[in-house]
Amino acid sequence: MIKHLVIAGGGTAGWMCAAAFCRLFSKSELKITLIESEEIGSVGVGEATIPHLRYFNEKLGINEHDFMRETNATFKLGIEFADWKQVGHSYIHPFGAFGFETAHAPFYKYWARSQNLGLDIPADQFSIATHMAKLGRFTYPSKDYNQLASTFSYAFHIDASKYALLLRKFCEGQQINFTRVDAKIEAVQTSQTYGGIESITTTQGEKIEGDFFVDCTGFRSLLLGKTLKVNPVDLSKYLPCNSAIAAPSDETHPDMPYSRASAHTAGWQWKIPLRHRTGNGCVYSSEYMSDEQALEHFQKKAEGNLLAEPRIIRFKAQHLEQSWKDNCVAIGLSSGFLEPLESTGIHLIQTAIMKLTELLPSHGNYEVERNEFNMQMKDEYEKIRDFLILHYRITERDDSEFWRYITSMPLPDSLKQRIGLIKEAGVIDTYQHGLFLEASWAYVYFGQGGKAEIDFHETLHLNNEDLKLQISNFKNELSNFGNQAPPQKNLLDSIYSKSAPEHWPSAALSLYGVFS
Amino acid sequence: MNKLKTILIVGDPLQASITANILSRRLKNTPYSCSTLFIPSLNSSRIKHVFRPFAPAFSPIAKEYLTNSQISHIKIAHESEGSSFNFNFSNYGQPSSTITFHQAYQIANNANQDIPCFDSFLRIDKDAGGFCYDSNDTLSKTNRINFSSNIYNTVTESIIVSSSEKRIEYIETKEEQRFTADLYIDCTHQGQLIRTIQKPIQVNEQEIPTFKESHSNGVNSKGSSCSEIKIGAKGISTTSSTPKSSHTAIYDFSEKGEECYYFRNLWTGNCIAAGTAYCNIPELLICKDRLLETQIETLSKLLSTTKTSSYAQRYLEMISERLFNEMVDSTNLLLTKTSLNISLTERNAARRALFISSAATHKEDHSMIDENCWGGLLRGIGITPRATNAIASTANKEAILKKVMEQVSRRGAL
Repeated sequence: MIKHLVIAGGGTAGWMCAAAFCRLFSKSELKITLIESEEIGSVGVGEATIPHLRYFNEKLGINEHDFMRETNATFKLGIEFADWKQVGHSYIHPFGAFGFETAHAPFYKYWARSQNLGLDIPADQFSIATHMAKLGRFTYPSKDYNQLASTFSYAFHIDASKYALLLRKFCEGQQINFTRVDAKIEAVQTSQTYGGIESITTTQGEKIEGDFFVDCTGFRSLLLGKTLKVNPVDLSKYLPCNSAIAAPSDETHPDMPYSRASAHTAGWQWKIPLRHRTGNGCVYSSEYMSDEQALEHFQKKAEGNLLAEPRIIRFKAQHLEQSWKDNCVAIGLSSGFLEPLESTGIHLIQTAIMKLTELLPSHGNYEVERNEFNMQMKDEYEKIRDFLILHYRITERDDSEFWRYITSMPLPDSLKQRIGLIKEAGVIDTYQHGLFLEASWAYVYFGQGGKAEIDFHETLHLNNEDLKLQISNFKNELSNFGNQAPPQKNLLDSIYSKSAPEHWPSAALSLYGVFS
Repeated sequence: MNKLKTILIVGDPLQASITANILSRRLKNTPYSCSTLFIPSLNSSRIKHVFRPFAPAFSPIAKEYLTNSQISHIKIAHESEGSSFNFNFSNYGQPSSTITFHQAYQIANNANQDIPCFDSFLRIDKDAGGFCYDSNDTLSKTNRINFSSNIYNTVTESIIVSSSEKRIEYIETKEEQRFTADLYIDCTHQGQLIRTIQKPIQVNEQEIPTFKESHSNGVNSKGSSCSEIKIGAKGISTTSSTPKSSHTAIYDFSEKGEECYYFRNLWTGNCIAAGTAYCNIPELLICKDRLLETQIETLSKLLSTTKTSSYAQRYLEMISERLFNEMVDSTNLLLTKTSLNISLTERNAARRALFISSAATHKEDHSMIDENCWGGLLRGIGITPRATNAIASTANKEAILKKVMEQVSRRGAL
C-alpha cells in the first residue's frame, strides 16, 4: 500500500484527485501532499460539465446546493450547436434519452423513417431536456423510471476555479494526513533503481519524496511527459483546432439552462451562462485563422462587458501513449486534451481518477494494473475523439478552407465504420464502456443533417400515416412537459437564497437519465 | 415495391429453423422471403442449456421450457480434485459503492476462512438462470411456427455447392434439385457453403487442442433439469437434462481430431455463415444455438433491400468475433484444469494476471460473459487473488465481512 501520494499541481484535476483520495482513504494512514503555486494560473478547464460530475460530488458527500452556491452554478440540460450543419441552423444535444424504449427497434429508427417520409420534426425535439432548455425552464428529473420525466439528466455550468477552492476546503476538512504545499516545482528526481519518480524539489528548496505521484501540471506535463518522456499521440490531423481565446463577460442568462457552441469559419465559439457571469471562448485553428481574426470574432460575439482581458490558450489535440508509467499517473491536461467541445475535460479527469482508485493495487508492483489503466484510458480517449470528430465531419459547410479540410480529411477507421454503418444500414454501433452512447450519436449525427438512406424495415409494422401521427403526438407530449416546467430562474433563486428544499435526484454515471 | 429477394437457409435443421424463424419475423414487412433446406443427417438429438438474457428467438417457447425444465446454474466439476463450482452468466455477489464483490470476498475470505465458497453468492433468483431444451422438441416447435409463416422447406440427404468469384451460384441436392437465391445462409456443419469461398482461421492448438466429439443420450432418473460440465484429465464433457431425458457430449482432446476454427469474413458475397457453420468449437458454457441467434438477430437489422453494405458486413463480423472470443476464452480457461499442456489466450492471460494481482477484472465490451463472471470463472478454476486494490485493503475488514455474510443469509444455499 502506498504511503505517500504526491499530487503535482492544483487546478481542477489536482483538487478533484486530492478530494477523491482524501475521501476514499479517510480511514487509512495514507499521507497526501498537493503541491501548487498560486503564481501559476490554472487553465480552469471546463466551465461546462456533464451529469457525471454529480456522481463524483455525491460520492464525496458534497451537498449539491452548497456546490452550486460555491461555484456560481446554473443548470445545464445540454449544448446548443449553432451553425454546424450550415450557417443559420441549430440543434441541441440534450442530456436525455432519444425518445423512449420500443419493442421493435430503437426510437431513432422510427424518427429517421418519419424524416424520410417528409415529417420535418428535428431530432432534438425528442428529449424533454431540449424543450425545457429552449424555454429557459428546469425541473429535476423524476425518480420514477416509469415516468417520461425520468428520461433526462442534468449537469451544471460552474466556475471551475471556485470548484477547485471548494474541493480544497473539502480536503482540508477530512480526517487524513493532507498537506498543501504552496510552491513552484523546480525539479523532478527519478529513481536510479526502479526508474519512476522519487521526489519533487520546490523552488523553495523543499524536497518532497513520495512513493506514488499524480501529474496534474496541466499542458506542461512535467512528470509524465517531460521527466518520464512518455510520447504524445498527435490527433491534430483529425481535430485541427489548437487555440482558444477566452474571457468572461458580465451578462447573465437565467433563461439559458444550456451551453452554446456556435461554429465559425475556422472553429467555434462557446457561451456558458453562469449565475454571475458568462464564460466566452473562441476556439480556432491557427492554420486557418490568425489570432487577430480570432480576437475580432470573439469580441463581436461575446455579449456584455468583458470582465478580464481576453487570453490566448494554446493546445494540441493529443493524449499520451500511456497515462500511467512507473509510479506516476497523469490526470487532466497533463495526460491529454482533445477539444473543449462537449465538455469532456472534467469528465476525463473524473474518469481517470475513478479508474485509478479502482485499479491502484495494495502492493507496489503496478505492472498489470498499469496496463489495464492505460488500455482503458486509450479506449476512453479514442471513443471521445471519434464523437468529437463527428461534430465537424457531418456538415454541409464548405464556406472556408477550414471546413473544406474537415470534409476531406481522413477519418480514424473506427469512426469511418461507425458513420458508414449508420448511413448504409441505419445502425448505431454502441458500446458498454464509454461516455457517449446511442442517443448522443443519434442526436449529433441526425442533428447535423446525417442521413440513413434505408427503409428501416423494423419499423414497418406501423404504416406511414400512423408513424407520422405517433411521432407528432409524442413530440407534443414532450413539448407539453417542457411548457409545464417552471423557469430555471425560480429554482436558482430559491437555491441561492437557501429557501429551496435540500433535495435532488440521486446521481448516475449517465448522460441519459437518472436510472440509465 | 422492391423486387422479391430470396434467402435460402441451408444446413442443420434446428439452426436453419431458428434462423428462418427469426428472419421471417424480423423481415416481415420487407421483400425478403425465406426458405429452408434441411440436411437431417446433420441433426442429432441433443439437450442444451440457455441462460438469461434470452434471445428473442426463444421468446415463443421460453415460457413453456421455463415451466418444465428451468435450471438455476451450470455445475462445473473438476473430476480429479473432486471440486466444483456454479456458474450462470449472472453476478456473483453484490458490489458496494466503492468495492467490487471480488475485492470484498477476498478481504472477507482472508479475515475468516470459514466464509462460504464464492459461488454461494451466485445470483439464483427468478431473474437469473435459464433452462434446458431438447433440440428435437425445439425443432418441432419452431417448424410449427415457421409452417404457419409460410416458410417453404425442403429436406435432402446432402448437397453440392457451386460457387465462383466469391459468390454461391447454386446448390444442388442429392435428388438433383437445384436451388438459387439472392442470399444463402450457411448453417451446415463445417461451413459447407462458406468454405467454397473462404478459408477458416484456426485457433491456436496450444490454446484449444484438436478434439474428438461423441454424444450419448439417456434417461434422466432425477426428474429435474440440470446442466453439468465435467473436467477430466484429457477431456471435458457436458451433460444437460430435461426432466425426462439427458444428453452428454464428450470432447476428448487427447488425440488428433477436429480443429477449432472460425470464418472471420463470415459474410462474403451472397453467403453468410452462422452458428455451426461459422465456427467449430466445443459447446461448453455457450452453445452454438446462442451464437447463431445473436448473429441472426444482428443480421436482421443489417439487411438492406437495396444493397449490401461493407460496413454492415464488418459489423456482423465484429459482433460474431466478440462472442466467438468468449467461447474460445471460456473453453481455454476450463481446459487449463485438464492435465493437458494448455497456454492461456492473450486475453485470458491478461485477465488472470489482473485478477491475481489485485482481484481486479478487465473491462471490455462483452456479449455474454461480463467482468464479474470472468472473476467467477477464474476463481472456479482455482485462480485466487494474492491481494486487493488499495481501497479495499484500507477498508474496515469487519464491516466488509459483515456485509458479505449478510449476502449469504439473504441468498440461501444452492
